[in-house]
Amino acid sequence: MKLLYVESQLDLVRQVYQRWLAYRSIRWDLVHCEGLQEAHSLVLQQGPFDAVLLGMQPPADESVVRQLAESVRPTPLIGLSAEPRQDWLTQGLDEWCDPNDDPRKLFQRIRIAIERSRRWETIPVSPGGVATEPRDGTREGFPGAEESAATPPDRDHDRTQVIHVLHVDPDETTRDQVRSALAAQPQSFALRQEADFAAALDSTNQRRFDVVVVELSLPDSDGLDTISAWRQQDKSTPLIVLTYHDDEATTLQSMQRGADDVFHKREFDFSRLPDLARTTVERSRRARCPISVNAPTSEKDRRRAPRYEVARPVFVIPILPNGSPNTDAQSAGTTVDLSEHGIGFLLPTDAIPSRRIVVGVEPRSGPVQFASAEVRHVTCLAGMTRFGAEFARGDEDLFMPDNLLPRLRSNHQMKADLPWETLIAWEAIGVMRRTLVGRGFVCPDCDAVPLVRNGCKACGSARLTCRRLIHHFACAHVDNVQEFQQDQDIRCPKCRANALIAGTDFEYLNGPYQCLECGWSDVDFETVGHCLHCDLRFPIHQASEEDFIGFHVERLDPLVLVDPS
Amino acid sequence: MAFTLSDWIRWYLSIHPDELVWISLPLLLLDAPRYTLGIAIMWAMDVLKELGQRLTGRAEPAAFQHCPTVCVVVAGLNEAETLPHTLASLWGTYPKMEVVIVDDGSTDGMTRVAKQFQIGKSGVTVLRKPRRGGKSSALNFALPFTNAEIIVCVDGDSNLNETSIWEIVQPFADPRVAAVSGTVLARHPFHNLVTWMQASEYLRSIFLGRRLAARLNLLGIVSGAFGAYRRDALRRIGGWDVGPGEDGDLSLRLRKIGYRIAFAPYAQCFTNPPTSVWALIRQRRRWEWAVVTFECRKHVDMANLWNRNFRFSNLVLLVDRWLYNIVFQVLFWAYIIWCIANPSPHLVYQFAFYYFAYLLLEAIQIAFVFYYSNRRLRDLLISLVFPLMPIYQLVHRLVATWSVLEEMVTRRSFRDTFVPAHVRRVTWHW
Repeated sequence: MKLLYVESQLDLVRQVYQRWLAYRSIRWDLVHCEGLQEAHSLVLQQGPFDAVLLGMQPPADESVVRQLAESVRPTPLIGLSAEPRQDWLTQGLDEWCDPNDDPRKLFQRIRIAIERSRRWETIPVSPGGVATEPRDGTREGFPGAEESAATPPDRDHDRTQVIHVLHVDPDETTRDQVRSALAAQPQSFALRQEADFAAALDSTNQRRFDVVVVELSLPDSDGLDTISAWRQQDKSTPLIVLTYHDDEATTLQSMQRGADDVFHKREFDFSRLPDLARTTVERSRRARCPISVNAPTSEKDRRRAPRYEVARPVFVIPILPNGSPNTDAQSAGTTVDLSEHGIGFLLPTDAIPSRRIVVGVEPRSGPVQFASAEVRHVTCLAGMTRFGAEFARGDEDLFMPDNLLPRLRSNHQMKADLPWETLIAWEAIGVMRRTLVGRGFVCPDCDAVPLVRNGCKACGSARLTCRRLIHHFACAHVDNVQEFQQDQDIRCPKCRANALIAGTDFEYLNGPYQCLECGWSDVDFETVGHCLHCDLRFPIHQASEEDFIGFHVERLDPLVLVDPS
Repeated sequence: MAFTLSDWIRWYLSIHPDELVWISLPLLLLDAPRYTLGIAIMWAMDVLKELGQRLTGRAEPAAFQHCPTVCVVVAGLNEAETLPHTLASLWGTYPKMEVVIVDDGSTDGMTRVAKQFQIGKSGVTVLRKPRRGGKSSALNFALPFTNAEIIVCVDGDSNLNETSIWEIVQPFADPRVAAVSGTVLARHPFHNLVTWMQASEYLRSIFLGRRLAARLNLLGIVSGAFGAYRRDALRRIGGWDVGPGEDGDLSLRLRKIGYRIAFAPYAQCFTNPPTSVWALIRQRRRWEWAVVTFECRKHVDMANLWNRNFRFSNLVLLVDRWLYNIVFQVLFWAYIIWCIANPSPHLVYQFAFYYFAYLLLEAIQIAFVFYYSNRRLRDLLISLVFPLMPIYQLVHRLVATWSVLEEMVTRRSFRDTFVPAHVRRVTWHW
C-alpha cells in the first residue's frame, strides 16, 4: 500500500509512524508532505498512490478538502484525526479514521476505502458530455483537476431529503440499536427493518431505498452469497454490511462482491450510523453522477474485470461500413469467455471481414441476445480461431437508441439515425424487431412533421384576428370586452352589475375570424398544418398520417449468461 | 230544451229594449266592441281625408321617400331548414342593406346554411354563439357588428314581401319614432283549422288593431317576428332584455324614454303560426305571462304621475292592459259562472244572443279589413272562418285568464325554457 500523508505537525506524524511500524502484517509505504500544494505536486510526480491521508493540522476548511479531493481523484482521500469531522465526509473525504485506533482496524478501513474507490474508478465526463480518453501509462486514471472540477458535488441534496434506510438483520438487539440510532434524527431518516432476505427483497419491490444495511448471516442466505444475491437483484443501491464476521478476508471479499462499506458489530459505534448512512448515500451519488454509462473503459479496467468461462452457441455478423449487416460473412461458433466489457469466442473461420461486428449469443432460455462489439484480438488455434471483442460503447454502439428510434431531425423528419433500408436489413435477419413508437401527421410534400395550429381557411395563415365580446346573462347585454373592463373589474355597462364571474354571470363570444394576410373572414377557422421544412400550409385533413417505427434489439446482458455457480 | 232559430227570434223580439241594454252590457268586457267602434271612427276619418284629397287634388306621393341604411338581423335557433327561404325573400329588396345572421347555438348546421348563403355576397355577416343564450342575447350580439341606422329583426322562419323593408322604414322619417311594427300574417292559412283561425285573428288584431293603436299613439308592442328599430335608440337602452316577451318589453322601454312606436300595415311578413292546439296554447301563455311581468311589475312605474318621464299615453296604455287583459278577464268568467249558478229559463237564448252579437261585430271588422286590405280575395277567404271565431275566442280567454293568474301567483315565466337555465338563474325575476 502506497500512502501519502499530508500533515504539518511533524511530531504527530512521527507518533503515527511509530505506532504503525509495530504492525507488519501488511506491506505499506508512507510518503509524507506538509502542505496541500506539495501534496498536489507529489501526486503528479510520484503517483499513483493508493490513498491520501489528510491530517487535521493543516488548517483546512471545507473548500480545501474539496479541492484536494478533486485534484487527487480517484485516489481515495482519508481524513486522519482524533476528533471526527463528519461534515467533511460530504465534501469529498472518502473515509475518516482515528489514528489512535488499533492499526489493524485502521488499515482495514483504509483498504475498504481503496477497494471502494477502485470500483468507481472511471473517467469523468467533461462539460461537453463527450467522454475523455484515458491518458497514457503512469497517469492513467488521473484526470487533471480542471476536468474533474466540472462536476462539483451537490452539497445540500442529502440534507434536505429524507433518506430511506432498509435494515436486514435477524437479530432483535441489533434492530433495536439501529432503530434508536436513527430515531435521533427522525426527520431525515425513514427506516424499514426486515428479518430475512426474502422479505427484504419484497420490500425493495415496493419502494426504492437510498441505502441498505445488511447482516451477512440471514436465515435464508448466508455469508458472501448474501451480497452476490443482493447485487443480482439491485445493482445500484449502496449496501453497508454490518456483521459479526470480522475476519479480514470476509471484509475484502464483501467489498469485491459489491458492498459499499463493511463494519463489525462488535466495534461499531451506533451513534455514527446516521452520519454514515448520509455519507454513503452522498458518496454513491457523487460516484455515479459524473460517470457516463457508455464511457469507454480503460485497458486496466478491462484486464481487471472478472472473467467467466461460458460455452454457448454464438454467431457473428460483421457490420458493413454503412451500418448494414454483411450477411454473406455471417458465421457461427461458441463463446469462450465473457466479462462485463467484452466477449471471447471461437469461430471456424480465421478472419472476419470487418472489425465492427454484432455478436448474437443464445442463452439457456429465452431469445437470442445481441451486442455490438469491436474485434480486438485474433488468436489462431488448431482448426479454430479465437476472437476477443470489446463491447462497443457510446457512438460506436450500433444499437444505441438514436440509431434505432425515430427522433425529430433538423429537417423536421421523424427518422432514426440509421437509414430505413439498413434497419430493414437487420430486421430481415432477425436481429431487430420493429415497434410502433408513435403516429403523427406529416407534410404531404416532404414527409416532415408540421406545426399543427389554427389558421385561415383560405391561405392557412396564423395571423387571425377576431373581436372578443362579452355576453352578460342577466341583462342579455353583448358588447366588446373593453366596454366591460373597468379598473381591474368586469362591470356591465348596461345594468351596472359589477364583480362579474366568467361562466356564471357572463360568457365570452367571438366575432368572425379575419385573416390579416388575405382578407378572408369566417365563423370558423381551420386546423392547418404548416410544414417548417418546405413552408407548405395545408388543411390538416390533407396531411398523411404516418407510423413512426422504431426498432428493438434483445440486448446482451453478460451476467445472465454466466452460470450462477 | 230544444233550441230553434225561430224560438230565438221570438225571444229576441219579445224582450224590452231596456232589458236588451242590460243583457248587452257584459259584451263590453270583450275587446270587440271598442275595437269595432274605434276602427269605425278611424275608417270614417280616413274616408273623409281621402275625399278631401280627391277634391283638392293633393294626393300623397305613392313612391317611398325615406331610405336609411338598414341592417336585417336574422337570429334563430335550429332554423337551418327555413333560413334559406327567409334570406332569399329579403336579399336584394332594398339598396342599402346588410344582413347579420346569428346562430344561437344551433345543432342542426344553421351556421353552415348561413355560410353557404354568404358566399359571393358582400355585407353578409355570420355570427355563431357557442351555446344557446336566448333570443335577446342573439339579437344583442348582432348590434356591435353593424353601423346601419335601422335594425330590422326577422325570424328565421318568416318570409318578407318585396316591399316589406321599404314599407317598414318609412315611419322612421319622423325622428320621434324609435320602433316600427310590421304586419305579421300566417304563411299557410289553410293548413288546418287552427292556422286558419289564427290567420283570421292576426288580420284583425294586428292589421286592424295595431293600425288603430298606432293612430292613437297607444301601440306598445312590436312583433318579434318582424319589427324595425332605430339603432341609436337601441344603443341608448342597451338592446333587448331577457325574455320571454322581450319584444313587448323593449317597446315599453322605448316608450318610457319618450319615443313613439309606429305601425307599417303594408310591411308584411309571413310566418308559420303554431299548427297544433297545444303549441298555440303554449305560445299564448307566454304572451299573457309577459303582460303580468312587464305591465304589472317591471314597467308599473309608467303609471307614476310624478315620474320625470311620465306621459299620459303610457298611462292609458297601461290601464288598458290592466283592464282588458286582467280585470275584465276575471269579471267575464265571474259573470259566466254567476249566470250558470243562477239559471234563468232564457239563459240559452241569452248566450245565443251574445254569439250573434259577436258575429255581427266580427262581420263589421271584416268589412274594414276588406276596405284596407291590399290582397282582398285572400283576406276574404281567411275571414270566412268567422262563425267559429267566438268559440276560438272563448278558448283563448280561458287560456289567457289561467295564464295571467298563474303568473301572478307563481311567477311561472321564470321557469319557462324559452330562456336557457344558466341565464334564468342569474337574471332578475320581476
